[in-house]
Amino acid sequence: MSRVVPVGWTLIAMALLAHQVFLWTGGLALESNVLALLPVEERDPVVERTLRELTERASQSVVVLVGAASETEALNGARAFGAALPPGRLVTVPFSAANPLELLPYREGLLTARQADWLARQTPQLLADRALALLQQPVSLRVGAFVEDPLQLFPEWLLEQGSALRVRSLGDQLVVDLESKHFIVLRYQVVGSAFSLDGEPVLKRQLAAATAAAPANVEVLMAGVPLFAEEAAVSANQEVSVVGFGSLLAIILIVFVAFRSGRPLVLVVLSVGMGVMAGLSVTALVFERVHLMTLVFGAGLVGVAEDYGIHYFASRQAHPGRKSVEILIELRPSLFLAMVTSVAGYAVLAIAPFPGLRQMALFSSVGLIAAWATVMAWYPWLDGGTVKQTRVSAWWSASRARWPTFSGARGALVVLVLVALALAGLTRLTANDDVRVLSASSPVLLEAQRRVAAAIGLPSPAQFLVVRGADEEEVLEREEALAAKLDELVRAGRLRGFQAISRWVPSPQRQRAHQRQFQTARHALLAAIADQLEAMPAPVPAENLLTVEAFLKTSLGVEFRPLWRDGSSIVLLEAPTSEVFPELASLSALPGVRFVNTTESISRVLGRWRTRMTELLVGGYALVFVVLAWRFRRSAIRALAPTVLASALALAVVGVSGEPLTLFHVLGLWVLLGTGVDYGIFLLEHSVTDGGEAWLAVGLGAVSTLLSFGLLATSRTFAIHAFGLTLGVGTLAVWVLSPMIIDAGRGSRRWPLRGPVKLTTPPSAP
Amino acid sequence: MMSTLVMLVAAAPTFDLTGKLSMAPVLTGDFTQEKRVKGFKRPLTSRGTFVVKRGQGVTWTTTAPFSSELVVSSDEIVSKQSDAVVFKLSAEKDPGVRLVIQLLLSVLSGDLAVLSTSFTVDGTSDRDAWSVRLLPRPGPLTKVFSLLTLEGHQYVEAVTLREVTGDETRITLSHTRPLP
Repeated sequence: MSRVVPVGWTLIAMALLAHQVFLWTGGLALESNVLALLPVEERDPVVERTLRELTERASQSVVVLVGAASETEALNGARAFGAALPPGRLVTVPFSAANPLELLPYREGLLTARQADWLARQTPQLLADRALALLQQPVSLRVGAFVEDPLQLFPEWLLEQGSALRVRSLGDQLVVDLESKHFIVLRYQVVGSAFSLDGEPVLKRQLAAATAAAPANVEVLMAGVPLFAEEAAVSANQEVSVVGFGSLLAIILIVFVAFRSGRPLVLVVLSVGMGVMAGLSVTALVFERVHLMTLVFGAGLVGVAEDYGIHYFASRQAHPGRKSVEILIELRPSLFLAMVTSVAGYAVLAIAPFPGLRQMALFSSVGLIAAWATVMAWYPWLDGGTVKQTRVSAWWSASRARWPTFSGARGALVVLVLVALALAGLTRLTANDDVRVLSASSPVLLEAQRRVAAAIGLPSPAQFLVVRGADEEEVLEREEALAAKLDELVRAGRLRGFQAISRWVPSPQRQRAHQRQFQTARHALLAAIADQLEAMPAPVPAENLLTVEAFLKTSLGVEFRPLWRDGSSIVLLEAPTSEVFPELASLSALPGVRFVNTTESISRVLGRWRTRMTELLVGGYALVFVVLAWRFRRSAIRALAPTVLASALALAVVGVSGEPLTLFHVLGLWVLLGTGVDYGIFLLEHSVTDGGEAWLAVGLGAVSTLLSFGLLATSRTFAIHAFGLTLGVGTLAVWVLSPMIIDAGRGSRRWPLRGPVKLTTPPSAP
Repeated sequence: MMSTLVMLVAAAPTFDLTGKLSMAPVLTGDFTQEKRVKGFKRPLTSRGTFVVKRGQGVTWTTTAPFSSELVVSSDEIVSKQSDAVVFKLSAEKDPGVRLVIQLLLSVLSGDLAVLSTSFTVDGTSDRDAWSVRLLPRPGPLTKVFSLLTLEGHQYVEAVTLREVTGDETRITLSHTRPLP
């Protein structure tokens, strides 16, 4: 073999190693937000940007509510909490008191529906009496001179607007009332990355320390995406270690038991290491951020990528007299085919438009190719000498001949029983594509999040309404029509509340109507009490209209900026529940209105892809069959049958376990197709009488793969768990079933092969 | 402005009306209110009765020229006209309201201890008679009031409230007596 290959691969390895050093010394940009795994299928730029901004905002902010029976106790509690919070990670978002008087120039156009209705029903004398009665009170709401707003309509408008907000100000603090307690609202922003690589729950610990410092009579509630992200990051971190090191330990043990020497051990670990490094490097280069879940999934690759090395050493052990190069050339077709089918199985994950799945597909595919390439490029070069015979290997190799097969009537019966069992399990399968099934957050966090969201009317980042129109006027008019419908839902108790810009900036048409009412009433009442008034110039009727732009520039408007984007209005919904979604969706029928529900659209995408990938799976099997038939002719069905049966059994187990069938189980079946047929390929390539090294390799590979997938199945992330479960059960079944089917009724006969592979003949250079 | 107030705070002796003012828990009486409002030729005069429950609430019943009622409790102010609510201010929703409630209660019962948290108190007293000038301390009140004066004997008899807008309210309380 030419020196170019090993030297070239060495150069690549060195580059990889350097890149790894860079990545692990801070160069690796990690993502822990579960939302980043999900598809962004939004073609509408306004919606897309809104979603991105809402998600970004949400992913940085933490809200803490410190509550007690009295405001003073709550304030003291909040002070103690704030003082005990270590600096650095959480930065207080100051509450800047808004000055509503900035809206004073526009007051004549700002009336509540109740005020407009009331004004329409008054006589000048009634208006005058009312104005004087208001004036005689020792307490009044009056802003500015009497003649400008004698009925005190503007302060009343402000008061009603304020009561629509759940949060009120108390000095320089925000307060919200919840369950007969007063809660001080503390808003924080997380600085820096939302989690650290060391897997320490920094935020949780800091917040717990601050909570402990608050007096015992106060209750502390906290909410925010960073808390969930950190929780996910901490558990993902543990999972990476458990899956990665667990699998590695298993390989070391298996290889050591089977080969009893250091060289196979080092070389197998080397090929796995190269695979994992290459997978990580390429993923980090292709994607801006590597998701923690990709690392968890990638750690599971350790148990799959070792197959090539193990096959090589099993063959070496079985043929002690032959050179490593010869062995490798003989193994080349089957190793290549096995690698291609596995890579194809993983590559299928990338078909669905899920960024997370694409990362996992890339990581795994590159990893497998690199592990295979390491075997091909380095082994003949690094592996001199002989591989020891061991008793374990011999016993295992020989076990293939003793393995039961599906022969005769008894075999048929066993197959029948298995099919019946699979069918029984399959009937219990229920699909659920709701994205919320995938959430693995702790109930404590979820409950606190729910209470905080309900208390302060936290708008949902996943559901909102977009209102469009030709111009601002049309948008505001359409939004007013929408707001009227939403008000009905609020009154019916179906919706907690909503935030709409037209509440503060009525449409020009409405503002002009208000101005007319306001000015007519003022004129009439001032005329009615003219004899009491000094000769003063009558107030000039205002004509200026409040625009969205002007409003958003006021100190009050700053908070409402997310409600307006590129001339479209965004109506935010306060903690909406899924029961009201159908009603909200029906509002899309209003002109210019669209209900955006990302939870539902992601669920829909999940469902669509689950169905599509299930249908395609049949095509996938057909394709693999064609490829196998090219090499194995009619026996190809024997290579494929164990995987088909194993897939059915894996699904049956999912059905029996009661967990809902998701896209991720189906994708697991695709990977199983890719990895499962490898067993068939190896066993078909090498018959029972060939010394059994293929069976040894399959067995060793299966044990480590099983362990990796088994560890993945323990993941708290549902998607990874689903892969692990499907593949774990599937791999076990393929392993057990393959010799039963492949060796059934054939005894010691070799399978007819196309191609030059014969271990007994000298290799010919291709 | 700021520094003047700070100096006043430093100079103001702690004025004490203990022994002069009645400490009866519930007082009732009549009032005459004269309001000079910018834009009006003459002061607006109204009359009525009041009930003050020390530290708890005030009921301000205007009988002329328009009958109306203002009920101030510890956490809200409700203004009524012929039994219909004209406006309702809740201290729960607006901390400014709590301040106003506190102010009303302490002005009518002459509670200088409470008032001195929001005002600098400067006063003169001559045997039974006393008179107090209150200047708002820097804070929300300075946006509304420029001066508050109280005078009286056993009870508060006159209150003058000057607002930054130039409007002035003078309330005269008479026939004040404790309610059993």
